[in-house]
Amino acid sequence: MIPLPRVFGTRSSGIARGAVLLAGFFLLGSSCKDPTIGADFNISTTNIPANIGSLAEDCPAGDDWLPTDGSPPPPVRQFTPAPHPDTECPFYRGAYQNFLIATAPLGKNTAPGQSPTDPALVNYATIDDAFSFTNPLHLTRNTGTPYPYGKAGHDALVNSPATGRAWLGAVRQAGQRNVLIDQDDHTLYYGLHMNQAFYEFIKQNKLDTPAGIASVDPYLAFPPGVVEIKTAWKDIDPQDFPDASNKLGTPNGIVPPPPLPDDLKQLGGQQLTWDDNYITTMAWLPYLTQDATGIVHEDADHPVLRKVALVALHSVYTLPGHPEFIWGSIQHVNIYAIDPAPVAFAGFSMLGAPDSQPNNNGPGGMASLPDPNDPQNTKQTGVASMGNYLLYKGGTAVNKADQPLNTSDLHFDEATQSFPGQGAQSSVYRMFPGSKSNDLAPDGAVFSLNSNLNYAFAQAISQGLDPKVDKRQNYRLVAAVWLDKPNFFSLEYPGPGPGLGTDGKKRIGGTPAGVTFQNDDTNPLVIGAGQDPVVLYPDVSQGTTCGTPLDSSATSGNALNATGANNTTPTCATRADDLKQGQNPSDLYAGKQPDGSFGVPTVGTDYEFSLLGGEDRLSSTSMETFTQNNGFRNCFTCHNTKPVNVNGVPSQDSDTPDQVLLSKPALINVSHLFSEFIFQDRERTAAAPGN
Amino acid sequence: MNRWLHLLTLLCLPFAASCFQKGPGPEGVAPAAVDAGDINVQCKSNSSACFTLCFSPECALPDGGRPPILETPVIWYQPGGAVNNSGTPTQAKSTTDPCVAINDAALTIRKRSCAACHTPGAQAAATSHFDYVLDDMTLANHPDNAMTPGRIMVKPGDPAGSYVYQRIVTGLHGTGSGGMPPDLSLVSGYVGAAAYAANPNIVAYPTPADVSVLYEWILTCMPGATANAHQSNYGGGVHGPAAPASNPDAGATGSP
Repeated sequence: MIPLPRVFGTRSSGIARGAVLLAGFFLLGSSCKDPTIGADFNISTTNIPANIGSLAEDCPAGDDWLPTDGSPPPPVRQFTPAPHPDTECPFYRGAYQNFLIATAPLGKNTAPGQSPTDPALVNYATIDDAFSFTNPLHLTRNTGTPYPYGKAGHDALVNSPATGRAWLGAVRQAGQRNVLIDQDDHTLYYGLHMNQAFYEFIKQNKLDTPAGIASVDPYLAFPPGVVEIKTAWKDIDPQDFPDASNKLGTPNGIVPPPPLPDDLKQLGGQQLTWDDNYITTMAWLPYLTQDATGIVHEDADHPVLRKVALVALHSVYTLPGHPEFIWGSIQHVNIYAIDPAPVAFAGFSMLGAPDSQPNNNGPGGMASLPDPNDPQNTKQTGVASMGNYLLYKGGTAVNKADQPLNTSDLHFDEATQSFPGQGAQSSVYRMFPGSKSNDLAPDGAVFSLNSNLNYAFAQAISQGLDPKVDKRQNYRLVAAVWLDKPNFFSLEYPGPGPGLGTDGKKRIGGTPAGVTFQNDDTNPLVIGAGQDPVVLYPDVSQGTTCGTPLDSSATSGNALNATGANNTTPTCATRADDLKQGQNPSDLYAGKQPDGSFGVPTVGTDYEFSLLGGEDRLSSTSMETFTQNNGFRNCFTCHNTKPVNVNGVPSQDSDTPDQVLLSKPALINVSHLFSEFIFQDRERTAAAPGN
Repeated sequence: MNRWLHLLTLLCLPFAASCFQKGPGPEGVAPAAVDAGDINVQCKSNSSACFTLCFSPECALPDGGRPPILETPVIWYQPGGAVNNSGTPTQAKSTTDPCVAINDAALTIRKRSCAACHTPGAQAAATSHFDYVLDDMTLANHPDNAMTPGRIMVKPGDPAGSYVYQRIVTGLHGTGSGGMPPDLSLVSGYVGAAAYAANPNIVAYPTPADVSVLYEWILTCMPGATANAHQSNYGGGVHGPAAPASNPDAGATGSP
């Protein structure tokens, strides 16, 4: 095949800048990243910075991802990608391919009442489809009957039979049940969707009732091919915005277009429109009310029909060998603006700048990651941007952003389903611009995939894909996180001894309590390094060997017993190498610096002791807005095998029984579809007449 | 790039590389061609020359840029070697068929965890009447045995309906579960004292990640399995209202 020319920029003049950065990385030590370079690579490692390969990590877009007939891509291939230091690309590709499948426009496959531009997601099963509520009076989801507009209309029927059932909702975010208010004073609305394999898993294992979930086999794991999509939508319905005469509730309301701040203008961005650049659909939303204490409540049984735009989503899925779920995050971008991050960190320009929050990972952006001594950036008084973004009010100081609002201090206006005129907007920035604990730069494979997607969409459009119908080109991968060493996925970690005790399955503490899969002092690799004698787990990847050994034609990843000279990842190290050098992984993950002080960690997921692959500070700015720090590290902080409480986080010892949703550790606790169902079921039961 | 230039870019796509935005290449100096031939292919893919030119295994354009890549990458696996994150590395092979890698990984897991008792000549094989755990064809066509009458050992396409799979899942519960592999205290008796003494790790206990690989093997990859299992259940299916809420193009006031 003759290579086609690049469309949206090249790896250009930033080589020198990149070299400086890379030289800096080199000084950090021997942590080896994940390129698969291969072949006749034989350049002396003394001439090449250790981590330069990571910027050269190619990650192709699939040639079958955008069929010319408008059909969705094929299913993600089910195989087990190699662990570090081999390429992370397959995990990123899977996340984006699942996004493409879930958001493919219905096109000609619309049912009556659907639009060709509706994403396939509208047909995906939700909690209402897959589970059976204790109080089963609700109607089919995403249906409804309009009622007189506004508070009076709702008050008149609030205690009457359901008029429908909302599709989206859950406006109180998981983590701390906080509400995010966008720059138009509205909350975002969230959706939980599952593919057919997930739905069938629930049914086949009789997990569709509270009792079924309570009696689940704790070792039942998700099979390969399961996909969960979590979505965040913005209300863009004219009825919720004033019209030219400042009247609310009319179909002629004027919806402000997405903000185009100066930042994006300078990057080449253009003013977008909702319909042309966002995936939109009509959705029945819960009617929101506020009680006397200020808490916002959702009435999903008397929903209102509103137009919504997709802001971001999580693409969550399993592969063979990865039942823990691979978490991919995707966000809307302005495809006319240069993404500043690849310019700054990889020396090439690429269209597609994030437009929901400031682009603080480019030139002039965040100078550093949060200091462990000030993890919430409370001492940072600078601003992330002067421009207004969808989720950021221009000029907001960093230490005032990423803070949840107390809705008890705010007045909720039922007429507009918003918090108008109070300056109550949430301001969000990426506390970890690269989604990594130790690095400002996003992963080179993410750059590569997004760059290739630009080309893939351009090619598809030239072949007939209608960008007015198919809006998927306006969304790009942020990052992903998974278990790099997935054999540690369980309810407990192996014991500290190399023989795992006498039964081979000895458990820490006697009873499995579930684990959180973090690179901290609970990490068994870190614990093992601190044992006397050291427990290296030599058979676990990167113990004494490094990477996928070269095949007979020397075209694959890294060499057996790599020394840094005979493999394709220069200076690729093992845990044994690290310990020989005197490294203390516990200290390094805690951020200990060479001078003994503590600061930003110098190691992350690319470190040989990492349990995690991908980005260990991954968070969606629109979905887990207020959990970018504050004790939350990444998706696995909440999505693990521990019991779950009403806030959607691991249950605490201090929780009362009614605060616990899932009371026992279980492998399926990694998905919160079950805990969210229990949460909704309890609220619904409590609200039922007679209770 | 403004909207018109974007459009122009798209229109130019089939015609000429010079139509597109390009950077100056490394330090503005065009790299020397290292491979005579197609102007768009200055270095062999994955070669050191490409890496030298632009720090990329696929660097190939005249300006030193990296060409877009639209392809489905090959799958690397280690025959008989590491599975998931564990095991002794072996030389890698590549394939475009996921089942080639899955079948190999599933075989490796069975060798580690089952073969000591369930292969021809193994001490426990005689009493269990089950010595074909590594033989995919026999597993697929030999549903039960004298010790498991009426039970389907491995049912291609149906992991949950496969007795062997069920026993392994039960074994995840640990000591006393009655699953497979047996409790470590029983292993010596099953494999023989001499074999156990020679290798105390003769039986490896599968993890949930290993079980996940076995699931895929039974579901889609072993002989007689459902080759398109994921094709049929991967998308979202059709759920929700039979006639969904409203036509978005009709405004926000409609009902089904």
